[in-house]
Amino acid sequence: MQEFYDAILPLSDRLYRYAYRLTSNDKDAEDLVQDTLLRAYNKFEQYQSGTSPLAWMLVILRSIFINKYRKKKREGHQVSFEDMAAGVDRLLVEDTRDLPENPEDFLFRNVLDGELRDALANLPKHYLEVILLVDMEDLSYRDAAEVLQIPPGTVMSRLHRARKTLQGELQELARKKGIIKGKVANLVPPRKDQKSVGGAQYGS
Amino acid sequence: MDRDYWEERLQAYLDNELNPADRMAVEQYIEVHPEAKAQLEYFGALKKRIRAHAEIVEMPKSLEQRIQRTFERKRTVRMFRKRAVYGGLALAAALVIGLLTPALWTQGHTFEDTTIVGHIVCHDCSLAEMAGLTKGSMCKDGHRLGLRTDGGDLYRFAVDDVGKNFIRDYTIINSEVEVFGEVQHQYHVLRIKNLKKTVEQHALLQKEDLNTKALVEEF
Repeated sequence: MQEFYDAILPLSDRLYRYAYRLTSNDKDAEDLVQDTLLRAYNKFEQYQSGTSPLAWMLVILRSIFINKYRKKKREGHQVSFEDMAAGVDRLLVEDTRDLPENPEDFLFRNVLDGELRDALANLPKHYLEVILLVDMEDLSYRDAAEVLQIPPGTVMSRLHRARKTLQGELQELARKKGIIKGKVANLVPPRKDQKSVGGAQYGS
Repeated sequence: MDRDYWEERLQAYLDNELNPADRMAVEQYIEVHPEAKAQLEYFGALKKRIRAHAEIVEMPKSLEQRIQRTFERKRTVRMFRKRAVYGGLALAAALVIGLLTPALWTQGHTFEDTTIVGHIVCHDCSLAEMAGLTKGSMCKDGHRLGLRTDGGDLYRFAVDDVGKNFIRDYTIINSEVEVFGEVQHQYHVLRIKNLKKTVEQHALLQKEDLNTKALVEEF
């Protein structure tokens, strides 16, 4: 059990980071982290030493989040992911001439943290999650696949679409701010009943 | 191959998730497709930007304290339980030992009142004899005396206030005696309360008989 204190508890801040992005709410994120740690503590004998403790914790966190989400959905307290996902693929950048000449300078100088946060929050959860796992938490595709309970190949394709969608959001933002003139290609016309590609819906 | 295929591999290349063969294929693709290189640069920069952005979300101190409190309490409870279990086990073990020990002790160590008849022997010499060794001049000061019964049992005299006068009285060796005392069967130890040479007893009985006869004759 000492391993729990040594290997798991120090991951609390990373769990919180993930929980916060999922819930978009600090109170819910705190509760989610606390619940996750308590469940992990009670099921610690199931943890296989030598595997990624973060991946193991995130599996638990996701499971709690999804169950709570389903419960809230049944109670009619939350917007469904289907609604949130509708139209998200409309902003795929198709024309590489839209790309800024110096992307690093563009992204660090012109995209504020608040704007990036909103852009991320606008992503459907299954796109957001894959970005959080691979880009923010630096998980391998294999670990991300374990957390998301999908094949590693799906992680690769989903990540591709997630990044392209985020790119589209940021390009749209830059266009609105007048930083770039190019128009973002509207690949898929938004539809009310549209579901995003490759997305597991928590509420289903 | 279609564009999505290469774009997915570009992302995987960026994340260092390709095997060497696929990496090489992507590198060759980039060489002949400048737009792929631009994309790679963009997504590399985006990855860096997202990583930098991740740091802005910090765990609130209140949650940190809440977690610390919760798990310190759990650790304490766990330690207490562990100690309680070990303590319980130790107590149970002590009880078992406590219950068993007197039984073991009393079984072998208690003395029982006895009256026993036999011949005084040098205990050590007799032991040697029983072990098949020659007697020789083994009987000397320092050997403790004992009693051999007619049945062949050998008892060593205990070092005792009552018995100690007999311990080194080698003059009584080979005398038949009647011992009143206590015996510890497990270790064949005999604690003497009183010892009578049976010949003396016979002599006494004979004397008493004579006195009785004399009295009868007087009447």
